[in-house]
Amino acid sequence: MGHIVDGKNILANNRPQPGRPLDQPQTVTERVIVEKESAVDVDQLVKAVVDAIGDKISNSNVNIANTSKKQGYNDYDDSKTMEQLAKNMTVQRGNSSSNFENLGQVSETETDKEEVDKKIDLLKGLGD
Amino acid sequence: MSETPEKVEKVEEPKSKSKESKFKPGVGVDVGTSNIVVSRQKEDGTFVNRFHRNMLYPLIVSDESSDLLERSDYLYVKVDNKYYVVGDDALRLVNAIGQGEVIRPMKDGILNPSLKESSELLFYIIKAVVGEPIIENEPLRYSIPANPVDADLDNLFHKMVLEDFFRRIGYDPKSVNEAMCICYDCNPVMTDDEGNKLPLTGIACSAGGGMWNIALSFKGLPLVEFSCTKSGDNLDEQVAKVTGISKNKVIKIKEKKLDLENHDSTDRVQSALVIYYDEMMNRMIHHISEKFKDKKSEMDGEVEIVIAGGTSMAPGFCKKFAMVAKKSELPFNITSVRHSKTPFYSVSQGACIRAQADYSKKAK
Repeated sequence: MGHIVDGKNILANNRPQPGRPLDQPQTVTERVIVEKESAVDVDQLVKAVVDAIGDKISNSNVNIANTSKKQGYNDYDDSKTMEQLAKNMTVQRGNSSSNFENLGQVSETETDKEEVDKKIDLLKGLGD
Repeated sequence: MSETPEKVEKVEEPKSKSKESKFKPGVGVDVGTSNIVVSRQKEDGTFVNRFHRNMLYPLIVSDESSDLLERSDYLYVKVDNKYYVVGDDALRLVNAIGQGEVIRPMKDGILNPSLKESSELLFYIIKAVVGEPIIENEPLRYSIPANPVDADLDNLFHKMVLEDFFRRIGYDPKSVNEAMCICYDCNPVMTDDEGNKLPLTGIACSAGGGMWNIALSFKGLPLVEFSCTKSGDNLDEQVAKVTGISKNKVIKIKEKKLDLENHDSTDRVQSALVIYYDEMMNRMIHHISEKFKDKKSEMDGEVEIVIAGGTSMAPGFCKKFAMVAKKSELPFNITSVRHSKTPFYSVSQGACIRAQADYSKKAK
């Protein structure tokens, strides 16, 4: 019985778990190196989680003033990417065509011109 | 919702440049799930609204389909190996053929992600409905929904695609929140504690087919904007499910017979519709209460609610909404619930007013 040393069972408090081999005896130096190598990189883990479920993280959807974007966990501005994507999507392909130039039916509604002008005066003082 | 105005004039012939000059610069566009509406204002103040039903019927390119389209006056877009018949013609054709179904380039207020040609098709349609600018870089405002509180949708891509469309046609485009357009058109008024009346201040609701858009405005400035899904279209689906009647029949009963104040309680569909309208209004009031509760201090007075949109067109809608609001704990006192005089055109007319303000600002 190789694990009995000086009459004591050296594995008594270190029994292997099912499927898990007994750790090889290590020197202090070796253990420090192993722990350093296996340490969890929290930053990397957070990044991986955010990449995976970032879109599903509960965001506030209330839009304040003219802010149409969700208030997310960070303030990364992806509008340039979206703009590029939008332009790319609307490039007209050569093999499409239509047989009309005008579409729609027309209806007129009467309004109070003075009231509309007052509203325009008020609105032209606002930002975009 | 597929409500369209009852009285419409004939399709307008293409206008010459000289005729167009009677319009004031600044155009408003409501790109909705069901309809596209474009508004311009004449010098005398009258709004001229052009609308198009936003639907398509696809046909595979073949000798038969080409022959059918050649012999008829159907309007279509051809992309690759498919014809897409547009507008009311799509509905007529699907009824005549009795096969397939009408599809939409938009879904839930934004570009339909399940139709890969949606942006290309919509570009042709928008170009033909909006027409050319009457001055160089004419200001244009197009409505967009706010992001919903009850669904994972982001409107940014939709907004960018539309902006690119309008820029390509020659406009100077900017987006504007759909509910704020109703505010600009209907002008809700707040009466403060000293009796002063503040214009463009109150709650605006756009009850569309796919979603509700709601905004709290202070002198034309949006304080809070949000949207909720499960609007009119959802209501039709739910009633069809519980009554076992087709959705088309439910829509027909809703549009032709339903009166929310005085419905026929022996009619199962009408009764179910009233229950679902009630549920929808309670849900919206709940969201309004939750989202606006922090703004109580900024709104120091009694406010008005203004409503427009296809889902609000059922008779008795506003009275019922006012009753639901009265029973609820809202952060502000509500003076009245007012229906837009032109619920179908309110969004595009409001956008047009905003675009005219942009023009006045530029011209200063």
